[in-house]
Amino acid sequence: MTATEGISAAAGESEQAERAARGPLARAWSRFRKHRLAFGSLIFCSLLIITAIAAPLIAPYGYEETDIQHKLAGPGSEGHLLGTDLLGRDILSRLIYGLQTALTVAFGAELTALVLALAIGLLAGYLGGRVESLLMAFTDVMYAFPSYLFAVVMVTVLGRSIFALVVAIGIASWVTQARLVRAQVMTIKEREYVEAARSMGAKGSTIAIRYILPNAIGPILVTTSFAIPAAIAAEAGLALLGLGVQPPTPSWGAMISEGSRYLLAAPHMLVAPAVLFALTLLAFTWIGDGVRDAFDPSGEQR
Amino acid sequence: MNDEALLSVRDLRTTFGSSLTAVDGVSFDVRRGQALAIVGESGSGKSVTMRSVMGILPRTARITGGQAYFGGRDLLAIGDKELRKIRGREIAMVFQSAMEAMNPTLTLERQLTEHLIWHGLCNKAEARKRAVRALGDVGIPDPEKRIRTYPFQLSGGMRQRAMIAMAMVTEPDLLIADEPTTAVDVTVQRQILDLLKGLKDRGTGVIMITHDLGVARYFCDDAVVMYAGRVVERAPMASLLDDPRHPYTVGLLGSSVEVGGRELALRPIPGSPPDLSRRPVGCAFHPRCPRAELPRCQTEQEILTIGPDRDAACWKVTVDA
Repeated sequence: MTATEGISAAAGESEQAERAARGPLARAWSRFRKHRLAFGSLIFCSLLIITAIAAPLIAPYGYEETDIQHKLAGPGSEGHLLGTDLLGRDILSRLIYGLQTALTVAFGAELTALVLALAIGLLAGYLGGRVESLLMAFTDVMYAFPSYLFAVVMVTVLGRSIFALVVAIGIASWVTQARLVRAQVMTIKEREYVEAARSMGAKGSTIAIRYILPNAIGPILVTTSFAIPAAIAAEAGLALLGLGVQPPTPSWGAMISEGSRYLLAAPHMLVAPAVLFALTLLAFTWIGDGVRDAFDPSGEQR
Repeated sequence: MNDEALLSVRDLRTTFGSSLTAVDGVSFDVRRGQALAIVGESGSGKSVTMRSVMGILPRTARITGGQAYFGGRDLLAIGDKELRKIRGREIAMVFQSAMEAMNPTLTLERQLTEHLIWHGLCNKAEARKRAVRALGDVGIPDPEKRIRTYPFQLSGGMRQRAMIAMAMVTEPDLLIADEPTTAVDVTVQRQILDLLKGLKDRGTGVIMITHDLGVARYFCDDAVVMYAGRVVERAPMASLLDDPRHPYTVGLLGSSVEVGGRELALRPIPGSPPDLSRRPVGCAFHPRCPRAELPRCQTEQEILTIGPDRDAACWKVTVDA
């Protein structure tokens, strides 16, 4: 990554030289690191991501494994740290696999959204004219359509798979981002350095990628980082409606929904997923805060 | 004169939208080693003229007539792909503010070498060498180290010089400088002008777009005065300053703070430049002109030859003679 390269290249040199070697991304990164809450959240979320990737190694049981002798075991009971559910499945293991589902869907959806938004926003903003009118008319139609409803329709059509959720949530959230990208591009392409690049003989694609995109990326990264927790929530929301991934694949939304039905008899079934869900959303949102502050020019320190 | 011209613009006409004619029949020549000042107030069409020649007009603008010969080719006719090979390589441009005209996300190295590579002039290592040399040439200390910095890490004066280095690194034949000293301190102004003068002395043709005759006189050989999209006077710099003929030039000199070392009483031109979508009938300057005579000034006035290398677009000039 450029950010870390910039830092490590400069390490050991004087303050002046360090500043000289750092690009805009490196500077954003150093501001981000000073944001304690965000940096702490980043560590927390990195652990979550590692856990999700290494789920089969970390989870004490498989997500389908049932312990018939110990149905609805309470937290702290033998062999089951967070207890078991109705079928005797280990809740901790299901949370860990549910994390896998949540993160796959969220990152997949936001990556899809980002790629779509960048492509459409850059094309529309840079080319202008008829291409822009067409693309933005399409975007507006999508914008007018209630995105949650759209996701529901998509899942119904594509079936209850992770792929369907990625497509459904991604398509529901690219629209706002595409509009943002286009607005950014339109402001930046009027800048004199874009004209200067043209005067030096730069091709249209060079201008779009080397001159416009890097200068537009800050606000885009900020919305994307806020869109990740939104996508996690959307996945849980769809699961709550019974439109999440096909059981028995675990999903936090489904676990919360199931737990709420046995709230009095077995509160641990609700509490564990709900707390983890809330913490995860909070941590991702704080990362978003940090990213926003890192790219906020008023926080710029020379 | 015509046969040795580096750039020869003839009857250039550029319109915005359907009716706004920003540049209306402009002609001029620049030779190698010559510096030409294009002088006028904001909105007189001087920047649009040069952007038309470079082919970097905004999308709403159209070139509706004229030719611009450069090295035997008509820049207005060869199409964007061919023009792109000339831009930045044979003709380069320097902008008003380096703060605005340099990409804040790229290091000087990238910005000084990229176009060398786009144009296939040299490889990366060679480009870096040329960039370092160019930075040294414009008087940036320690160029080997500075080349790794980003524009915002330089002082205003250094940034402006770095931008000139950016334009010069390809060794263009013609340099267009658009108000290169407007956004910098007076102390930096002189350095910038000295740099441009040095380039001119080494044979580069320089076109300097400015509203400031004081800046233009410093090293320009000739001047073209524009008003409302047309050339109103064309003369060698010295004679223009000593003996301005067109009433607009007279007014422009009168409103400069100091020209040629003489303090002049400030006499601003009354009124403001016309709205180009509602250009006055006949001579566009007549509503502001102290010598206007109606109805004669409401008829179109061709540009008149009034002496060796001198033209002016005012009928009064011939009456005076």
